[in-house]
Amino acid sequence: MEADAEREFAEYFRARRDAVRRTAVLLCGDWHRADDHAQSAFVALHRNWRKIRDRDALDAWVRRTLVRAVVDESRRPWRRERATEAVAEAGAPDASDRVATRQALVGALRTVPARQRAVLVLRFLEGLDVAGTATALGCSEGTVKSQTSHGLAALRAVLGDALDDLRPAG
Amino acid sequence: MDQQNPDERLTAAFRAAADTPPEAGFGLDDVLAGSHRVTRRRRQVVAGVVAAAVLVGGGGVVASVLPASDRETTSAAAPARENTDSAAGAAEAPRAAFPVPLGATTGQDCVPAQDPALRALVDAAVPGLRDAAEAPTTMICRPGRGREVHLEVTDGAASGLLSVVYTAPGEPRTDAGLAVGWVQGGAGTASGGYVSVTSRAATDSGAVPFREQVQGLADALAPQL
Repeated sequence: MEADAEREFAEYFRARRDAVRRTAVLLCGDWHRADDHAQSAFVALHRNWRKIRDRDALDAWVRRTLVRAVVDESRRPWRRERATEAVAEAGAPDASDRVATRQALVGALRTVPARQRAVLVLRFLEGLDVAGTATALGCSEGTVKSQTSHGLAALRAVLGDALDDLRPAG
Repeated sequence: MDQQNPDERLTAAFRAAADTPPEAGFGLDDVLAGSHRVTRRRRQVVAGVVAAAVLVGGGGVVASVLPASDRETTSAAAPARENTDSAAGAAEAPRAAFPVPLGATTGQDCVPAQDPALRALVDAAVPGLRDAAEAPTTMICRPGRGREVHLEVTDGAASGLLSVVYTAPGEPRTDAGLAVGWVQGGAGTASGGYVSVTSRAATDSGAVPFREQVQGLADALAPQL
């Protein structure tokens, strides 16, 4: 890759690495796998850098790459067998209620089917609207709406009333 | 008093749940090294496969499972074979060019998710896929001696994901399908394993790319694996 392109990629990587990691951790449930998925997404991005002509579409490309990787992984039998493994959170120490809130949400998300989890993460972490989420996932807006409803119901089944009490930490 | 609506509260909670990531487990150098490693391995394997084809087949051309209008030759030494529309015809040339099946991997514990040797066979069988970008895969180790290739493909107006999964002899198949929007073909391989080819539409209701070619590709790859 040419020097200019390498520089562009490096700038993009530095600007977006942690945001991509944050999306990944809510998609897959633990930081170790999140880093694996995020690194894979950036490797794929680097390999396809010249093919992605629309630089405004980079975030969408990485998002789509990440979501597909996590959802595809969840469909594979060897992954499904490990889906309920408990993996310790690796986040920084924090006030106990904040940690409890985070762990409850991350843990509850891990019980939601992968596709529904992806919809919830894109809508509530990434802030995409229904149309944007549908584009990212390659499905209809109706599917996004129904998956959102089912996903929230699944979250509520785990968190109960705590889902309605979720507040920003700090 | 909380002025946020439920959606805003959820958004804030989701963002708070991931707002203090631990130190990253990878940096720019790791990404660049990974990218270059994949590129280097692919070039080496492609060069090896082409050399083997020239050596064994006298420069013969591997067959294509695509219609003639989409075919390209893989060798400057000979013209493309004209009659390769049938799956049987597609399987013939690779058998001649690759008398020893590629078979299972050796010396590694994990199934390569983007195996360069298998990719070279796929590219040779379907020249139109040479420019297809690798689809994202995980870096999580799946124990086994199989091989996989996953590509983002476009076929006219249809686009989606094409996965080729070779399962080594004696290992369980892992090629799970989906509810809708996919087509799968498969065949037993020369090494006693199994190769499946799965094409998934990019959208739930979209057209499946290479719908009519997946079984032909599996049949073409089977003698080589």
